[in-house]
Amino acid sequence: MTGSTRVIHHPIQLIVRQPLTPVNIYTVLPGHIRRVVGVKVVHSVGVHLMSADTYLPAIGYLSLEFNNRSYHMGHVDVSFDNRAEASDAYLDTEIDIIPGSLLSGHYENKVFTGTDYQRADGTITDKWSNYIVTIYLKALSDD
Amino acid sequence: MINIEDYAERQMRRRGMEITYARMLPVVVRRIADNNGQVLVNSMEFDAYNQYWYLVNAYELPVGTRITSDTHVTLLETHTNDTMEEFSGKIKIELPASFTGNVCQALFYQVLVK
Amino acid sequence: MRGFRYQQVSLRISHKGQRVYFNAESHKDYTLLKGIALSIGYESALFGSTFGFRVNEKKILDESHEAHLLVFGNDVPPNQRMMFFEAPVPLQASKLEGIYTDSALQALLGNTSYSPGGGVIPPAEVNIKKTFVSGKDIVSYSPVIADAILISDNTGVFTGGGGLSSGGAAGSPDPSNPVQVYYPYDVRITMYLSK
Repeated sequence: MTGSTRVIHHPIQLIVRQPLTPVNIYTVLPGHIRRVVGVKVVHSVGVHLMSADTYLPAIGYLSLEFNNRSYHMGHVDVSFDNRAEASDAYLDTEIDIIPGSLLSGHYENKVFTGTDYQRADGTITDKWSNYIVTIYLKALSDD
Repeated sequence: MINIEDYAERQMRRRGMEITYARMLPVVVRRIADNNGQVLVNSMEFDAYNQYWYLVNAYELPVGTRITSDTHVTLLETHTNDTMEEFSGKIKIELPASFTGNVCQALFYQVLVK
Repeated sequence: MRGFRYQQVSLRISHKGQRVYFNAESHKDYTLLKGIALSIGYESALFGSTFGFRVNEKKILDESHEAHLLVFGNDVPPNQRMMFFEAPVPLQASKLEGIYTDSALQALLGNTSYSPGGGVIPPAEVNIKKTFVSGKDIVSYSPVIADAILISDNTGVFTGGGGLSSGGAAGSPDPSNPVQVYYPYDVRITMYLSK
């Protein structure tokens, strides 16, 4: 670790455009990220257009693999939470990152999967809204 | 078509894993319906913990088939490419509601590592 | 580095009172089980439901352990969103088993076998089905095709394609009837493995 190491918050946005189709993640992390010390996955926008609820405990879940698929961290639940008391803390990790390595995984949507959101022919109805999930990596960077 | 044996060998070596055993393994998924046409079974679940399974015959499975595992989930669509899908953990194969046949065979390349 | 892993198993509960069994194997590189948590789409499904858990056939949680005690909402910081074991459970590619029973405790409300004023319900009556692996209505998620037939009454799995809902109920529980449970629903079990 060099003296210039600092903490950055690296966001990775993914869009969910179909209720049933898993979203695959294949993204290369910037070469200056040395270590991921925390992970946070939040719903950003979209679900509020489909539901009047302020809290849905699990709209889907995310599986994450670091370091060119050599380390499967496992699954994280993604909630929709518009309440004031929602926690915005990070989940502690401590994952040494191979510089410039692949971050892979998948996100599977678990809500609004009925036929009034996606018709049998696969097209989506106007009740469905695309939504965006953001993965924040709290990382040590030496850029 | 990609040579699956070479592909798996290289994939594992790049990740620092040594293959101790590998084989082709067909998995038959049955669709069973009762006399009223109500589907009783159209999925199959099995364990592949501490193993890696590569789907070899995606193009032979019905469109809409969903394969779920701990590390990867895939939904076969008409535009699905002939890519290698790798699964590990609890694997579940679900045939789509539109599938009306009786059996479907998914062919996997099963890899065990040290 | 690489000191931990969140291993998940998903269960689908199709009807009231259903018992769903799962087994899994821990990753061989991880030697300790430090905690467990459940997550669920609709919290109303949890009340009275129970979750038993064991590792290598040794009981960790009794079958009558209430499921809602293992669920942590988004108002809890992520690092505390789990029930942690004070003494981590040793693992070595171990067999992990659980059994979820929907609305298990509601079935005890009509229990008349104790004194008229009420009293302790004998453990044998709480755990009506004592075992993980027997019992007629257990849906097994073990890799046996024959058992999978029992999943059959779950139409949602075929039409909904693996979602929480099998129809219009998705994400819109009726506010005038807050205790209503929408079937099928999914329960996800997260196990926190560590080196």
